[in-house]
Amino acid sequence: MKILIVDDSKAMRLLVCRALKQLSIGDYETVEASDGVEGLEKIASEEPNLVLSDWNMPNMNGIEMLREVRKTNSDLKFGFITSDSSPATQQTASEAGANFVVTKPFTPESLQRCIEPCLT
Amino acid sequence: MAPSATKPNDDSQVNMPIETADVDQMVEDLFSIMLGIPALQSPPSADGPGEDALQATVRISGQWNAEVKVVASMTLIERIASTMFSIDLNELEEEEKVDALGEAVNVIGGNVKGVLNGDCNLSLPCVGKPFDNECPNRLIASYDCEREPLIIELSVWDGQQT
Repeated sequence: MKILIVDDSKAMRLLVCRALKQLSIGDYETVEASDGVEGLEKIASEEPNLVLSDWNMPNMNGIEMLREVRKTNSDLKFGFITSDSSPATQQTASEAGANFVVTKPFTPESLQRCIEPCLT
Repeated sequence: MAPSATKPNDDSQVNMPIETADVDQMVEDLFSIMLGIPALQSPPSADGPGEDALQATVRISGQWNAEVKVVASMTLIERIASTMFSIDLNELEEEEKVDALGEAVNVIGGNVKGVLNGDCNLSLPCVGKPFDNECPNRLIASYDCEREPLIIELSVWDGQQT
């Protein structure tokens, strides 16, 4: 399995990688991108099984990236890891085709709960 | 990137929509869950955060116009960055310190936006030397993070409850 982590913060990409290592999700490899534009490039070139994306990023944000993805790919599992837990954000994400939203700060357990259904 | 919301003005009549206890919880969650550094509410440090302190800000714009500011001593910033990047303090680059403090304010700013719950946008973090935005409607909370000062400021100058 290949997981793409999209976040403009290198620190947050590392924290997500560290949390993933603590999960029971079998073998996987990670690929990283620093914004939505690079994320789309990596989706095309790396063909990940799961995308974990920040919402608020320069150049192209997470929701814009997801909307681009869903124009051609309705199967790719896509989750947000964002600090914004508002119902409006949850609704926008869901309407755009996100599989889940994890709120920062997150624990490995909360990440596992969201990712697990995407791996079956 | 510079924050994009409108500037505060002295005519603001908006009530503070968030309580100190909300901010305390956000800070505790961030520091305990993500960083493993205890953050205890405390009176403002008499010495302040020091001359080498940095502040990180995010602006919330839309139905609410607000600014969230995190000011931390350089020692605390280095601890945060060292924890986030899992590298020794003496190996930290300036860019990593800025990234770490920016992510800290991004998390708290996003949590604040979640509580405000209006049609709002959150800016990208802006990190630099501390300055006073002179907004009259401010909530200021200070914390002790293993003897290092941390200050959170929330300024709200326009908005309405949904």
